Amino acid sequence: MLQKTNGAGAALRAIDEAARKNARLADKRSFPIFPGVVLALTALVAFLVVYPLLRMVVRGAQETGGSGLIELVNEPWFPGLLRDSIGVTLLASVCAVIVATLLAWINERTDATLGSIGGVLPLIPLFLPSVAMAIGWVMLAAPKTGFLNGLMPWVPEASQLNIYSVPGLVFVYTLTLVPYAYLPISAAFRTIDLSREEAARVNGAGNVRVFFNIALRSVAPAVAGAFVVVAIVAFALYSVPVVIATRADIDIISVRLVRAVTQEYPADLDTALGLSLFMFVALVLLWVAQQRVLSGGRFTRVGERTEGASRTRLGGWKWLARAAVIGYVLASSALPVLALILVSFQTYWNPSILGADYTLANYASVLGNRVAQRSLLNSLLLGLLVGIATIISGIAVLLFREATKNRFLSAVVDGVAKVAGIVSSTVLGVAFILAFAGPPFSLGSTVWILVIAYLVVFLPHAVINLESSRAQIHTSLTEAAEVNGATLWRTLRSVVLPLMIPGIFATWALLFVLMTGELSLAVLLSTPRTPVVGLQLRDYWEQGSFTNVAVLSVLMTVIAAVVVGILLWAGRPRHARRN
Amino acid sequence: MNSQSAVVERPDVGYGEPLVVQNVRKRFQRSDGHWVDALDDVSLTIEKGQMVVLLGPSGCGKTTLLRCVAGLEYPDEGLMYLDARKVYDRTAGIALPANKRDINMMFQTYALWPHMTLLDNVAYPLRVNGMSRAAARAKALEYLELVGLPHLGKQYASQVSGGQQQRVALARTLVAEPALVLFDEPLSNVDAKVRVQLRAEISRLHRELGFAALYVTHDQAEAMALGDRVAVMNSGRIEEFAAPTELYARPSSRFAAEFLGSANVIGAEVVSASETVTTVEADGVGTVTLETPRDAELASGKAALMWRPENARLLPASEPAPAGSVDIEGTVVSAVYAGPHSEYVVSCGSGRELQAWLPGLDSYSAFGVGDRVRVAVPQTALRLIAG
Repeated sequence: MLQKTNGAGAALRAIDEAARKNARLADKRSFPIFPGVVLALTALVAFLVVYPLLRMVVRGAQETGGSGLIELVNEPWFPGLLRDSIGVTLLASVCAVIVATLLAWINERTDATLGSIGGVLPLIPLFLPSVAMAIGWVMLAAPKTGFLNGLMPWVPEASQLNIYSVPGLVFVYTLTLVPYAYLPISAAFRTIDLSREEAARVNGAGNVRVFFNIALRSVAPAVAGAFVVVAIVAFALYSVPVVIATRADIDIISVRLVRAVTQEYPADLDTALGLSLFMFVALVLLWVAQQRVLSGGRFTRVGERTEGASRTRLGGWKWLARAAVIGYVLASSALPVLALILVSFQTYWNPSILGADYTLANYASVLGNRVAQRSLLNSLLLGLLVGIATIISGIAVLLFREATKNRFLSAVVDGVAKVAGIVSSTVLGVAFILAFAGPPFSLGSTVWILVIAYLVVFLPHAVINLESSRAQIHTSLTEAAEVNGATLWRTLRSVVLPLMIPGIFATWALLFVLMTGELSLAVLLSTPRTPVVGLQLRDYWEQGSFTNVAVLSVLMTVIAAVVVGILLWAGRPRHARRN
Repeated sequence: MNSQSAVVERPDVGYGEPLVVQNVRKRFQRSDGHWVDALDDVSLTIEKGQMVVLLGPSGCGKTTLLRCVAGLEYPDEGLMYLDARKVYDRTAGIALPANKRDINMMFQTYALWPHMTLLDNVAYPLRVNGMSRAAARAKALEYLELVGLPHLGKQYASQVSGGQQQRVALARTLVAEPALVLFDEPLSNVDAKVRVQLRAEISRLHRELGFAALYVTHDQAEAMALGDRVAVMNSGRIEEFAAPTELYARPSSRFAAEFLGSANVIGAEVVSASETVTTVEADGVGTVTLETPRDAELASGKAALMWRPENARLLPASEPAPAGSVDIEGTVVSAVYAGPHSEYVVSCGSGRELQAWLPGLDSYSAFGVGDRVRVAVPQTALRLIAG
């Protein structure tokens, strides 16, 4: 009998499959063109990512051959570039993961938690354009001219805070990266039953022992995964080093790559191609590492949580822990934004807050500038429209994968949607210039090259965020719809999508901030005919017009805050919540 | 398709019954590569208006069976009919998904949709069946009244208590009058007091509405209170299937005897058996003649004698056992006061311990730990089961 079961297993699965497909055929009638549309879109996205990268590789091989790479490696600056790029990436990733783990632990596992607000605070920097934060920190801690140095006039010049240094750069990197590590680590803490820690405490373990033996061990896979994610983001980061590293004489690969294309005439494509290839390989290696971490660790699924299990009591340390959370929020958003606001109203950047002259002239100057006006409008529209287009594509990917039982197609659609995530936006930007700027596409100075680039570059963010929002819907809720007789499409339409609305709007808000605050694509792909805020910001920065930089950053931050506020409000959960 | 012979078609039971399950098997592969029989040749029939309870320890396969009946999972082998409709037949390539089966299910986690009002939750299965919004809401309101919550229709799940949520879930499960109602441990998430109330509520609605149901639980009190029939499951098999009274008084397997209530079981060997009586040699008791007809399975060799602790009497060792009962001498090793009765444990040597529950408020003072006592069991309370 068992033998028969074995032998017939495959046939049985085929029958199951056939039966399920029959049922689904009936479902498909309600939305028959959907799979075709998704597959066509997938093919388009695949073309938009793969074709430019292929063009880049072919162009590189044709023009320089292998010798280009050898020349690159033999450049006198190359060892320093490697040392600086990798060193800053590793240092900042380690710092970010440590800070994020502590913040997550404080918020999720101790009585120092600030409740649901505390859980959101570490995410605030996600909604602040990172270039604005970097510029804000320059204004806070530049030698001689930074406000923090201005507040401490007695400190000798040699011991002043200096943002233009390795510690300064790593510090701002860390602030930018913490949210990327905080999200997975706090989620991991949330899934683990607090009673595990209670059990350790009643067995006589103190707070420190509970933290290291139980809490940290429980989330170790998430911490490892977060480290790789953060390293990928750090290695590809452009907006922070372009503001800080250049003046500090720290050689960061993404900055040199963009400079080779935009500031040499004619563009130094050999260097750009070599660096792109190098970056691409490094990011693929990191991605492979991430896959191994993800498959290695068995992640705890959300289980039953013991009601009323108590958090770690920190006693007097509670206030220090709360101060740390608030300190992070100050450093990552409040202080830099305050510095930007101050400078934006000063006649010239003056570190003495009380001694400076204040004026509205900067705002008049920026808002009166036609190009600046257009750049603000363009960024707003691009962020909103390409944002929603990206969200819709992401939802289509998600629904397609729910509906299809064809694992191969599902994997292909998923892979294509996420592939741009492992190619940095600087590399993609260079590849886009090669592929689409000139004939036959000639999109060079049109807005379309930006639209395509934003969509392709940010689709992985959209898909990953939507997936995590989908994963929060308990299977019993969809199974309940099924046993109530709902077809797959009806379940998706009446249960899954409505429950994802907060996640969808939050993702839209995030995409808006990422797109408007994006600097490398702006610098590489936008032109004075199609200006976006990033380009205008770079121009003001290079002109040394710090007050205008501050004004534009403040405007960008205000627009982002307003749009994020509206989107999060529009997507708030409609059903009242208890407690 | 060579295993067609394994499934015996019985068209006579395939029609009319709310549920017929025949020779269903399902295997899982554990992470260590080991194969486990989650369902091992299970057959089960539920008649109209009957509530069948699947009772067993965790991992016995009861939830797997329920999910296979629901269509949320598929077995590897076998046949299933729901209300005269074949919903699963491996050889014919039939495997209807949950939404194509005339069933509904109440979940352990309530599974109310948080974005819909409670009224819309209850109206959902009717809307799915194509009923107009107004009609569906009217009927949903009737069912909310039936579970005693007509005033909560406009609330959301997050605004009411767990017990209320589960009542709403019950209304949603019943409102479309499915051919078979499935319950997946629906009371294990609510506190003890609410559990008893809800159990009574389900029992009342079952009586009033007369639906057929399959109810999964690991709680024997729930099984006895709710089931018209109880199927005791163990390791993927149905060990016994009978009415609760029958199952409690006359279990035929040691597993069922010990899982449902408490039981004293001692080894016994069948010496002789006739049409009317069976004689056994029981460990520590001696020869016992039972008014049990010959049983082919117990005809010879190892068997066991079982009795419930509340059927035993306890006497001082100096007193003789009453007529018509068997007895064993021993020493009281523990006495537990349980309110209306007292629970004694008596050690009878060679590691054997027997339980005896004495009724009455003063039963606790009758014996003390260390007393020599005689455990006497009326012969009519003894039951011969497989060893």
